[in-house]
Amino acid sequence: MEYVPSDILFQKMVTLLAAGQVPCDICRYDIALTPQLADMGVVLKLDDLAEESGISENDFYPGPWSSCVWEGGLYGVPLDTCCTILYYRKDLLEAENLAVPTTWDELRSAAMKLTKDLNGDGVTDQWGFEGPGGYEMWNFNPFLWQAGGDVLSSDMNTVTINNTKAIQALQFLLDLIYVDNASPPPDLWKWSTEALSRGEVAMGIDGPWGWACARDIFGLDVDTKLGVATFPAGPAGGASVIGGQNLVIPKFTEHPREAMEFVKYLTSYYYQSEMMNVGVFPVLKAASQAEVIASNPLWATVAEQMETARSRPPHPKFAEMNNILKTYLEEAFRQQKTAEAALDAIATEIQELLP
Amino acid sequence: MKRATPYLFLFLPFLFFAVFSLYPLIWSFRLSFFKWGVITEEFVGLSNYAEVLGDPYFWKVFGNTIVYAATTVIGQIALGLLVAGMLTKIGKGRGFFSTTFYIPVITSWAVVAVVWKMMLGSDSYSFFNSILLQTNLISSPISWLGAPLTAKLSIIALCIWKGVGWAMIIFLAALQTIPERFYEMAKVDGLGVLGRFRKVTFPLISPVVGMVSALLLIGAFNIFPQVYVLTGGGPLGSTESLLTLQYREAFSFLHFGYASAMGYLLMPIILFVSILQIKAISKRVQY
Repeated sequence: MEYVPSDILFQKMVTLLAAGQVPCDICRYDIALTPQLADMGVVLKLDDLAEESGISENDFYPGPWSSCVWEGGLYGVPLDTCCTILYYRKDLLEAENLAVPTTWDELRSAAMKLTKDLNGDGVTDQWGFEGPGGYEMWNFNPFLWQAGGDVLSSDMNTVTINNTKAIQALQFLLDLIYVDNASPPPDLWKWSTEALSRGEVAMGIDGPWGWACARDIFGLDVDTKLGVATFPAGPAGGASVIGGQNLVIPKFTEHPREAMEFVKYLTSYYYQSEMMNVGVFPVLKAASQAEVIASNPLWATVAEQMETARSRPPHPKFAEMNNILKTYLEEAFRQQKTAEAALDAIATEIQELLP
Repeated sequence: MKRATPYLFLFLPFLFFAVFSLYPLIWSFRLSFFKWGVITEEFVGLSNYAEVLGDPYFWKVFGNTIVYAATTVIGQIALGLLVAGMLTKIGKGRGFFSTTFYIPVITSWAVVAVVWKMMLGSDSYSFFNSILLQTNLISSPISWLGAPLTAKLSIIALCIWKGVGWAMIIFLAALQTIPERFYEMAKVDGLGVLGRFRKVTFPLISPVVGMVSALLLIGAFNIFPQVYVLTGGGPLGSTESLLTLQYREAFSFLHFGYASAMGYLLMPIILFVSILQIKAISKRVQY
């Protein structure tokens, strides 16, 4: 086994495959970029092998599984997953007698009450809510889905990101900043777990790792001060975004069967439920029902949020789409474009990437 | 055998050059005419070049690069000359001060960029903000890397700080070649400090200034680690450099042909500007 940092894994894979070499027999690979490998034709189509070894779609969470599918074929098997959730400062909410928000409206009014100028110098020192600092699909899509919108239609042939639902999602986030003054403007964005730990923000968004980061990096007394909850529901209900890793089998390998056997082991009930003990969320539905969840508020929240968590468009051009979205959302968040104009620009450019 | 020896010594470096520079140069030139998909390729003629030239974002980044080039080249030359000039005037401690100014040059870019990123933090307790707040120069912390203008200025300042020692060392060597009697003669002729610089120093070191400015310009077109680490090109693409754009196009979007075409479009520009620069600045002077 070789450990390669994720930001150079892709380059390494591409370089070796271009030279006709086998980088490895199995590779753990970011879910968002799996379809890119599939479309390039550098990883094996696994439908037959998966059936042979008894790996079945029904045992997995649908979000992670969908990230392995491209043009009807299976090109990977999910290994681990995660999703973003709401983090909040228990102490700050208690000081205002506020309940944890469960809807957008509650989030908005709580955020307004939690925004404060503590030292009276006319500058806000405590913000009510901060998104995860910069909006890409990872951060924006939960709100988009909560409003009932999406980036692409379900057949991935049409762009839908500029419909009224999407505009509503973006406008909600913009209004928190510019109408309610309850969320910091882009100049002040930072990692919300850092801001939460320092008490600069009362509510934020992060993945399950936020808990350990707040505790170990920033020294926050997480047991008494940090709370977790599922995302407040939007007009179309709750939603979150999934991350995590898939297992892919590179083309040219001489050991596809052996590789699949190992994949089967990594996705077995035994292995998947053991993963939870070391802080990794399983992709196997059965494994996540373990007792661990009942005794751990973080995993309980993640498990509940997983039920409405979705994958970003499993499309080979995901990286480009994400960059387009990020570029124009930034213009909207910096008030250089209206929500509608920004989303129209995103839609136009993403449409050009589609056949 | 005697004749063969130098060639044998030259062969190894050449082999290195051929494998790691020449071959990629030729290969990427070929690539710039293809739509390349790792295990597939399709000849597309000049369309990669047309796409680069038709992309408004490329021109925005090109503009950024011109700003980087103008500010960092002038800044490094002016400050480098100033420091070198001062160093020639002091007897004791010249070695100490020139080493101090040179340390950033030999420090790894990655290390420097990460440290600067921390110092440029948006909080009141990060290095620059805490100094400015305590001296009452600002009333609230500045988000240096969060806003387009300050982010660009931060990158420029970092480039100048990191490179000024290099210009200084070369100027220091050049200044030491000017015989003291020229200055004495100029003094006799009644020239002041500025006059001596204009009539004696600058003309005599102008070939060196020309060479330094050309090399700095090539460096400015190759700005990468500072942007990659500090801002990733943001906010709003205000700090994006040609290399960070090229890198993303190639390694995130797999547009290897597009990125190669961009590289080959830049080569003649850099070559042309460098030659122009050397010609304009360095005049052969003899006294």
